[in-house]
Amino acid sequence: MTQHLTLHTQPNVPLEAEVITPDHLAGLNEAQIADLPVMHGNQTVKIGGFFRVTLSPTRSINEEGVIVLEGDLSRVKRIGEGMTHGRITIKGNVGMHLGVGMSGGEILVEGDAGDWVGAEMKGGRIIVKGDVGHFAGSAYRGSRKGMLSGEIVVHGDAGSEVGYGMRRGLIAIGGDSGDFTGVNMLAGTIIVLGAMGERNGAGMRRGSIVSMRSSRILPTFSFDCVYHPTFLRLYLHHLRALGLPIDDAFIIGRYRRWSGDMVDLGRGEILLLDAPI
Amino acid sequence: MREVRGAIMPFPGGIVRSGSKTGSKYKTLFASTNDAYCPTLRGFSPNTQLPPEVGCVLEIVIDGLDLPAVEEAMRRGMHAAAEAGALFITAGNYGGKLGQYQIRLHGLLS
Repeated sequence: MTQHLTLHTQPNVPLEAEVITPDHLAGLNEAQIADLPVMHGNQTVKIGGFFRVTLSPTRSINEEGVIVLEGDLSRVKRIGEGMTHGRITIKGNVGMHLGVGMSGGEILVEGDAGDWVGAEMKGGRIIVKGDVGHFAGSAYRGSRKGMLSGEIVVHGDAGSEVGYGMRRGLIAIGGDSGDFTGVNMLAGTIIVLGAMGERNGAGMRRGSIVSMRSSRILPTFSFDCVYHPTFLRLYLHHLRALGLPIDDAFIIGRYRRWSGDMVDLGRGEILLLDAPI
Repeated sequence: MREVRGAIMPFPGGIVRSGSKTGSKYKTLFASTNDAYCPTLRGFSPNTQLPPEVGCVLEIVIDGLDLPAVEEAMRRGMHAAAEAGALFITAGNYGGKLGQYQIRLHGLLS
């Protein structure tokens, strides 16, 4: 069955809805779902107080375990937190902490998402058709490791500190990213098709930060060479298959490579397209 | 170089895709990236031998039945590289760690 949750009452303060995952909702009927608790400010309330719940039969095996959320959920936090499988489709905007710590499954957002998308996620895929806020794929404050695996694909722009402390995985931004992209990265790959902000890769140990626009490089990075990074073609073909607008020039183009950040291990790299669009 | 009898270039196309050096910082790893001649590590490696105008380094490994065959292949290779616009040509056996023979390039051309 496909589970539809349609927002009928906009919460006055953010709603913490970490129960909205395929793991929690599997096998539940409308009444059971509507009875699940969520935090509304400091009050415990029921999902049914904000969402109308309906079930519809699936048309194919691919739709099994799908949750469809509708409405402006920009005040609904923690959707998909810790999910291990299944799919969540959000037809609208969504609030902070989407898919944090998830280890499997897929979340598709047709609007914008708030801060901390996929923070410390361990697997799975998050696709956002609009923009995302700050700290996508990042480590929480006080934590040493950001996302450990999985993919975050953003078709719009992203805020600051994308991939802060990320350990593995892929973050792709179709638009621009803010300052400190890839700050304190341990490993992994960040690809920004637009422009990046300032101080990108500060403190990174390993990993790759790629952009198709020119960007100011920190003085603690050293220029290496201009070359054709073979691995990047695989990533770009993969992202094109996921719907990002990958120009042929990105795939066949040459990239300028810098090593850094020399204030730390220095085994990271920043790659900028040599003839930016 | 391919026409020299008794000498072959064992790597695909005759070019080493990723040049290596003998030894590494790990005891159990007997070969590692030749960082001194790796353009992508130029900014990171303190041992780099590459001036800024060098964009890529091609390493050619030659196996031969005897020393004259290897020397002839090297001689032809140097002429071909120079005609193709190579900026520098060098050779090395890593201080004797890679076999007993040391063939001096200047000696081949004199």
